[in-house]
Amino acid sequence: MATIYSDPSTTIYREIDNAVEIPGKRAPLVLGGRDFTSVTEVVTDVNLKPAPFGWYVGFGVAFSFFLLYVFCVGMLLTTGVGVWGNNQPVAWAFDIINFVFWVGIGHAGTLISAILYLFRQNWRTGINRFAEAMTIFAVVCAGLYPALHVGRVWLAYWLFPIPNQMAMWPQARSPLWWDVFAVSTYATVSLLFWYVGMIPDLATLRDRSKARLAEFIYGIASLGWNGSCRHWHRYERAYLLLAALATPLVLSVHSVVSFDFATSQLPGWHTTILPPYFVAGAIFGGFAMVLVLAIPAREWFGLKDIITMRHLDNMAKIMLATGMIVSYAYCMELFIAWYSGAHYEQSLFKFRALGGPYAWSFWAMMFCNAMVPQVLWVRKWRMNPWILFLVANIANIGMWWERFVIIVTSLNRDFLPSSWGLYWPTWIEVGMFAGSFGLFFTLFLLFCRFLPIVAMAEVKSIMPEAHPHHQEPHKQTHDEAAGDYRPDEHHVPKPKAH
Amino acid sequence: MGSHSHANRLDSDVTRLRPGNGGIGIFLMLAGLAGVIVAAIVSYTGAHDLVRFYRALLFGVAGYLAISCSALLFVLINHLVRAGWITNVRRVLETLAIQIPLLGILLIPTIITVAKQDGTIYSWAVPSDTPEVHHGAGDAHAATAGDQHGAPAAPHVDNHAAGAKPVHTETAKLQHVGKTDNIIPGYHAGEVSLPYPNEQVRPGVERDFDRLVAEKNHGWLKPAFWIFRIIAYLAILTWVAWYYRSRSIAQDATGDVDISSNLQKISGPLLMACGLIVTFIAFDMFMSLDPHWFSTMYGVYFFASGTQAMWAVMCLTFIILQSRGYLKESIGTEHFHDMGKMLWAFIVFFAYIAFSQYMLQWYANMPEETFWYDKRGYSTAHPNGYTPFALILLIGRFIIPFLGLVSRHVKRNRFGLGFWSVWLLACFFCDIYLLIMPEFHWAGTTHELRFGLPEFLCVAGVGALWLGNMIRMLAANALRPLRDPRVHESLAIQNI
Amino acid sequence: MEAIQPTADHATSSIDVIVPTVVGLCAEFDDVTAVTETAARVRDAGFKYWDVHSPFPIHGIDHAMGIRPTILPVLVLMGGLTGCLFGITMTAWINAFEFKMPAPFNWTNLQGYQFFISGKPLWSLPAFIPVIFECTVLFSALTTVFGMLLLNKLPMLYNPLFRLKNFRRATSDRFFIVIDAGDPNFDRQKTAELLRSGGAVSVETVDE
Repeated sequence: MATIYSDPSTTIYREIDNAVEIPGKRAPLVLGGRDFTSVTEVVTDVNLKPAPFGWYVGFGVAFSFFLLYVFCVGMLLTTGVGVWGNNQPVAWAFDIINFVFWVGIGHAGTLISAILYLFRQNWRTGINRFAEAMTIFAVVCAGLYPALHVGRVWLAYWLFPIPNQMAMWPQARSPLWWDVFAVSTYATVSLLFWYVGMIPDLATLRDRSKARLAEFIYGIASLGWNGSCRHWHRYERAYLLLAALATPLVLSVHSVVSFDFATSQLPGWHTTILPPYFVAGAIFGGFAMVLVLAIPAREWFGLKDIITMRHLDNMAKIMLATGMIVSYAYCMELFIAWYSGAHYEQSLFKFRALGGPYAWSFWAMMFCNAMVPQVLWVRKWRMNPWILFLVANIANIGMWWERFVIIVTSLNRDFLPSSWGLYWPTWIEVGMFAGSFGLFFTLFLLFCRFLPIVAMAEVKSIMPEAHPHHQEPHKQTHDEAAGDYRPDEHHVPKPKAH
Repeated sequence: MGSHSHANRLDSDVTRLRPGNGGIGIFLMLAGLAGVIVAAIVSYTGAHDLVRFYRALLFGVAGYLAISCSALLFVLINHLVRAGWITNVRRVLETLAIQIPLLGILLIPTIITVAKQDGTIYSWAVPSDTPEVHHGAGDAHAATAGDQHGAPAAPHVDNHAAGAKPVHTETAKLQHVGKTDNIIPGYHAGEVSLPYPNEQVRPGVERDFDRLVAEKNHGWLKPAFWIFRIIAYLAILTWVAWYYRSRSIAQDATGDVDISSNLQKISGPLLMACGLIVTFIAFDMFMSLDPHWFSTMYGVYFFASGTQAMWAVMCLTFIILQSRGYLKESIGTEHFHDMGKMLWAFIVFFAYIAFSQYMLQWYANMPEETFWYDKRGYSTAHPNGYTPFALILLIGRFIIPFLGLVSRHVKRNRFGLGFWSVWLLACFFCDIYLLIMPEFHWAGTTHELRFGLPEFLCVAGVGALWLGNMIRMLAANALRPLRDPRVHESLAIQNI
Repeated sequence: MEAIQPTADHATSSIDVIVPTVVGLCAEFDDVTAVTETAARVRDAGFKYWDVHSPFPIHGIDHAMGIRPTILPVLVLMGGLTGCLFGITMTAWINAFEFKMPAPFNWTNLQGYQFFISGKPLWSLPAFIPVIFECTVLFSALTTVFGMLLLNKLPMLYNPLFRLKNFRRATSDRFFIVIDAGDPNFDRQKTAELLRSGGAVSVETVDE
């Protein structure tokens, strides 16, 4: 029910707490009395007006971290994998932790653009574009880790089934090889999804840019899109199909990542709930990252009318829900380890949680992922962007610890006590991890500068004016089915400056 | 989407079952009860005593329990996410959920077998020494017994059935647990008569001491604790189902919007609680049928399987209701399309969960896990009587209906949707059969397919009871929420 | 390019000077309802070569324009099945069968390999399913995107409509109905009148 308002200029439309839910009435998702024109303006201004000083500062910081990344990768390539702290028995460490961490972050973007689309969640339109961008950049950061971990990166093409006269083929039963397919398919499909979604908005930028060069480049990139409804028809169908394809894909990607662990016989890795648990964790961490990006972005780019408190509220709730699913999986693992009576399982979990050298990391994970998100039950705290920002950051940290716990604590005690060992990262690994954030934010800031950060066409399509008949004579409908969305009658409109 | 026209449309909507339909429900219930009683008689007069009936009844109840639990979870989920489209079909969901107490009553025989501690259904529910008693003899085994907890078909030295050969499978030998010369206290030859008992109970006969089962028998699966838990689970689920349904019915009269808000407010914590309870119903009632086996995914599997069947039941219910002229104005093609999409989504989700669980255990190939699948005929190396069922799960429950329901035209077509719903329900019962029945040891082997009159009568009888009670309860109230604030939104949905 | 003003006398005068290179009429609307209703009237008038341009997909415009459903889903299904088959063949060939290329192609030296590892059967379907699945999705997604672009005849960087200054708002906040001069029902005056009566803000001719 999008026909909530007939007249966008009504004061209640301008000033409203749209996070309040009134059953039977759908809250407006674009506030501030904005119409199509001003939505176009506020979004394209980000790209077409000169960048604010803060952008240069942010880009400078991000880029210097990126240089750190380049340096550490250089050290790695010129010296060898020995510059990392990986050892026996902890043969997988920071590289795989960070790989899983970054891939996981990407999943929220696909969830927002695909799954919420299938569920007809209109609020996704405000945030889907940069969530998708986040997906792509996170996958870039993720994919680099295993690519660098192969050691001889110049032979990385051996990962692909390229016909050769030696009949030397990859091993298709290896979960690591499934990863090659899963991650490259995911990267491709995410890129396509992102780009297809962006075509109409690139056309908007083409039509609004004053500079010749910008017009030319946006013109090429938008493929000559002219808003034809015959095009829109196929475009919408294609978008729906992509969403329907991306949904199982996103599940499969993190499931395949979890198979890397779960197909083994290692206690702590080999557990059947790992696939859905990894997916839920990925979405939890990914939504945390979306919040980390969205909260400052709406502030700095003046997008508070498009990324409203309701958007933040909904994202916080999804974080809470997925956080609870992750906690459910923690409980199942602990319960089944105890119930199974399996000696190794029990020992591993005892060691993981109590008494092992990494027990603190288990409790850090529990604190960040299971306990801290509980504050999101309280509406007042969800309504506070500062608290949300803090919780989201803690959740991100928690999800990183989760991967640390899974990988390092399971590996460092082998079945044979003689091969037990500890793992600590070297400064190169820490530098690479910090540097991967530099890479991520460099790409993200470039995206904010040059590409439409809000899916304008989609935002417009969910505005009340976008629906034919919204001005049909029977105004009484607003008192019946749709009704006026008046969460707070005494919310006296304040004069608002635009 | 003017609501004006909706309001007019809804005026002519038939929302109450015609008088007399409640009688059909009661008739079905009586028929179902008769079926269950006949199953008991057939079983009792047959070669199997009531044992076969007890087992068949658990199988009969399990499928409907999965469906009702899923319905309850979906009622909660839909309140939690403030879903609009589902409003007009929600009353049937609520009525499906409120069948949980009926199924609870039908589970009383199962509970009795546990209380009697004779191992009729659950091999862990027999008196057992504490593991500590067994230090000494075979201590070397005892030290590692915890790891080698896969003793499904333990090698028997004897069997009740005269001339039955002891089963010595390769895996059973390998996994043979520490064996002592213990004789079950209080059991003497002839005192207890069980025609087809589980391995652990063999009167007067040497018993393999199964450390793992003994541990569980004194721990999580202590019979009294188990009975307490099952009753608590069912009581809590019943309360939640009752509360949501009764509030929804109350709203029919008052149209109070606060009811929707309140139901939404408490749905989060209740969903967490009910999600855990459904998981533990799956663990305690079904996974523990084989106390040696464990899978963290099992609760999710139970939910996924039940939810798929639940959407099939929903589709069929509305197809039948509409063919009788009910809800013709409030439920449209868009609702069938949406329910079809949910059904299709759960074809995929169930396949995902089932594949993940199977593939991980197949891949790791650890004997303490794989025996469970081996018993069910999943192994291509040694297929058994259950292999066709395993194939039905792959082909009949995934590949064929996946392709069959992929098109929107099929989902929007009552006949197509109905056909695939029936198909999937049949496959669902194959799945439930495969989850439960291979655990029962007939004549010393686990691989013998056992589906006869008692099993059929139990599934059909419990189904008739369940369906009859549903019709009875549907007849007592409107078939859809009448004054839910989201009725109009549900009416206005359109699929892209 | 001559603007046809909504007033009648202007319109007559401008039609007089129309040059033969006119390819169509372009009417601008500022309201979704008006454009949808006008589109329905254009459809009912029997036009074939015409289009509506809007900054976002308008709900119900497919019906108003009489657009028939696209065959894209069928293409995608075929793409998906191809991908599935590709995945099955590839995994089987590279790990399960030592199949060599037959005679005309044997110069390629291509052959499969029986990769026996970790005690799994040569043809281990469960272990191949993830790759088969990813291939299916990849092929389907590529078919979706390139099929959509192909059916839409994109990229098409040149379009006479882009010469209209106001048409730039088609990607921002205005809606346009464009009727091609090649349409058998096209009549400059009547068609312009039809568009204008639907509430067009302006009606312009589109030049080649």
